[in-house]
Amino acid sequence: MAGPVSRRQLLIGGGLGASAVVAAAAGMSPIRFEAAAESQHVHDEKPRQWAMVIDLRKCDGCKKCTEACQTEHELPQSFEWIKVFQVQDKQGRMYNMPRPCFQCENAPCLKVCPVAATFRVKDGVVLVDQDKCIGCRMCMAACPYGARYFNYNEPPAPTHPFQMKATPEHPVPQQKGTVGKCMFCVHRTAEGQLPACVEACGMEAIWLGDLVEDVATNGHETVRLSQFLKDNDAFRYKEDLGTAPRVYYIAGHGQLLDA
Amino acid sequence: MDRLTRERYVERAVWPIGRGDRNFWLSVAVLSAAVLAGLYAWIYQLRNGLGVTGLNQKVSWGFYIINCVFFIGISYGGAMTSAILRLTNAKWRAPLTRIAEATAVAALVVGAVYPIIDLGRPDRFLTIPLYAQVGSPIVWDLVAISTYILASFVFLYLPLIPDFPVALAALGDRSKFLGPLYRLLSLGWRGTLGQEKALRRGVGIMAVLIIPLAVSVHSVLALLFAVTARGGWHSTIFAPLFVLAAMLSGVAAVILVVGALRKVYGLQEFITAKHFRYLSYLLVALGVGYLYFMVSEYVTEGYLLESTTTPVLEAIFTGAYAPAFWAFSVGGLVFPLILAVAPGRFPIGRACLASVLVVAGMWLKRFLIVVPGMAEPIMPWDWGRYSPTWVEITITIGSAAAIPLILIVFFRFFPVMSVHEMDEVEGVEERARPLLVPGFAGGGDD
Amino acid sequence: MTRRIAASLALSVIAMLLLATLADAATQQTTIQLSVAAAEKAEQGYAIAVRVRTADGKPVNEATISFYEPVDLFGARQMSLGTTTTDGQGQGIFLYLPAQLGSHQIIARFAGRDQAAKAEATTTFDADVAAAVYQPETVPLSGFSQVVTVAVGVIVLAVWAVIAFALVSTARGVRRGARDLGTKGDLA
Repeated sequence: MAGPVSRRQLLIGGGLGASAVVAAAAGMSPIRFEAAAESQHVHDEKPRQWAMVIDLRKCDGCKKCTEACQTEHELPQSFEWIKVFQVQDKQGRMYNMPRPCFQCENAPCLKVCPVAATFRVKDGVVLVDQDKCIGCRMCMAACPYGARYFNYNEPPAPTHPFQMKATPEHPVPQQKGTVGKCMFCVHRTAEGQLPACVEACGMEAIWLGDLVEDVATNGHETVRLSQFLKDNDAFRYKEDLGTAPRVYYIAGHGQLLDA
Repeated sequence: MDRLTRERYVERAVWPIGRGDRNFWLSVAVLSAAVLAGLYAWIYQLRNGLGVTGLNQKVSWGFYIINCVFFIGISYGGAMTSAILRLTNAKWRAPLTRIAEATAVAALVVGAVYPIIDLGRPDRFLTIPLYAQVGSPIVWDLVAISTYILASFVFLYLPLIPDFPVALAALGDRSKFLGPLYRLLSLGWRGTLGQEKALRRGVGIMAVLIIPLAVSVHSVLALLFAVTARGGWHSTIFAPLFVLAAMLSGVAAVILVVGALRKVYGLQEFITAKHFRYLSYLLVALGVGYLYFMVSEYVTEGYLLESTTTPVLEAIFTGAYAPAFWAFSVGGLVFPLILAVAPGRFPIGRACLASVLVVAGMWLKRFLIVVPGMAEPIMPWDWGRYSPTWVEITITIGSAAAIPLILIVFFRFFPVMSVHEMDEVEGVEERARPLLVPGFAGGGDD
Repeated sequence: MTRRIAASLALSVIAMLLLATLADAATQQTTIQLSVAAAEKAEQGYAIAVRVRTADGKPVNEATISFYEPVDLFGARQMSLGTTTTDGQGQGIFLYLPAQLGSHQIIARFAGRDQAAKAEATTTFDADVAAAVYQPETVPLSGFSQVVTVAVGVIVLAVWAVIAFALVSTARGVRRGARDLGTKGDLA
């Protein structure tokens, strides 16, 4: 007659289990609780922590930022790494909201990646290593901002004859079967250039800033970042999710467009 | 159980073994064709990328994830009928356990392939253990599913050990290759006291272990969704909800498979209306439990009407997904449960019909979890859309056909009912078990 | 009669020209005296003091002075720090807590107005008080999560061990039993 397992059997099993644990722990593959890595690109010597400020009083929805980003990274049309949303607020006003990747300090995408293909570099930017990505798209399910894009098909043919090898800092060209997203143009900032969207914005509505030096510029004006945020009551989108985004919005509805 | 009945039991249990009749080959041909079509679609997808599916930037998970959860859920029938009924000492389980355990393994193997089919870079699948990030639900999945597959194989194999001599006797001298294989796998089983004790202990351990393992697998599958911030997914009840859903669909699948094989292999004498009635009670108990979990979730979400969950609730109760939702709730849950438990005629037929509806309904429910959760507007944009392509549909059909194919091939080689378990349950003394065969593992007559 | 009109016209024109030259002559050169000292409270950082006077020593009151600091952020730029307005004595204070220690150059700029030309002054000071270095938000419960993860890992390994044990011990028990003689299970 079948019966329950006796205590002795459990003890034997437990003892064997414990010894198996010790043996396995000795040969365990290196596991990392958080994926963070040295970036391979050259910084200027300063320790930067990049952030962005987007002035919603000035965005006119022209989408030049999106186009510039797509051109810069040779992206297909469906890839809007910085995407301009048309939003209607509670007062019935329509305004435009550009949304790059927020490079969250507590990024859900980073936590769920099974192979650490998504990782953060020292200056706070979250990159994707498309040589490691297995294309499970868990990060896309986890991102509350819809900021990640999957290469279902082969990316468009390259526009320049010299094909450099793609790196996480400069993911051009994209790899089919992997995920890509905005990475604050770290390949440009490493060379002392503003990100493509910041440069392309005709309304000077997008600012790139450094939280360490406490400065931000949109290519024309330069401000003290913390003061700028304080003076304009800057906020972060869906902050209550605990993501701690690095992109700040200055609330508005395009009221400075004619200014 | 008298000797004559036992002989008939053994006879029916081994009847399919080695029987390559026309029906068998016809079934194999048809099912294989479906499986091959599915394989072709998968190869097509491997060559052309996931762009051949209906997935897009908003709805990036679809049929493959649905099917993964669905088929692994089907496999829970094994844990339920074989393990839980063994531990509760329900004697009526005996003729069913082999079918349940085999179905569990078949469904599990099919379900476990789906995460690989869903990958954008399946060639990198084996890098996961190399780079495994322990905080990732995908890694939890890999660990839980592989552990559960291992446990299910062991849980199928151990009770099979004493049946190998029976199978060998049935095959007789028909197969040169299988004889040595059965002898090897039977590990020299002769029914001695020491062997019985060893087997009982091993099966007992596995029966106890497989239940928390089963719970862990579907909990981890649920957490894949529940750890994200999407409305309808980020629910604390998801893990128990998925486990209960799996048990429900598993028991329904067992009813279906038992009903079918009973007809096909002529097991009516030993698998009777009583079995179906008891399985139906189990089905209804699980179904009512699942209904309760659903009510708990929807009342909690629907009362506060937070901005993340409200669009999903609207979509499934009165919006684009309402027809599917009500088809599932009424046609796939409430109606079949009533059908199964109501007293009256045709208990077996009603149980089987109810199970078909439950199984189809549970697939629909997984669809209703995955797709609205992906399509919902998490940013100020429109709802996403998803319509599967021929690739996804063909792979689904192929994988569904793989399960009966695996089963009928399996039972061509192994007894469809566990002879040893029947002996155990009926209290047939070891003495009286004429399972030794001439020339097998040294000795005995009869 | 017309001679009188012509004369008054000429007089008004001359008067206007005279007034204009007088007004021009009134726009004098401005100087800004710029100094930096520690602020009263340490957490306020530094007090940048300006004193704005015209060339003849008169204070320029109600003057808006803008402060900038040169930075190198994708090119040489001037970061605007803020403004202050001078009082009746032409003096103003701007409190500045730098983000980083070390040398800082401050530019004070006056845009100019009637009777005061625009002006600019620069100074450099060494800051040994600065705002706290930016800290990225720490993820809560990270230590606890790690402990939980390790514990789960141990449980998983234990489960594998138990499965292996169940399989191996049963196999061995069955194989050993196959060699037994004279047990209940043997048939005569």
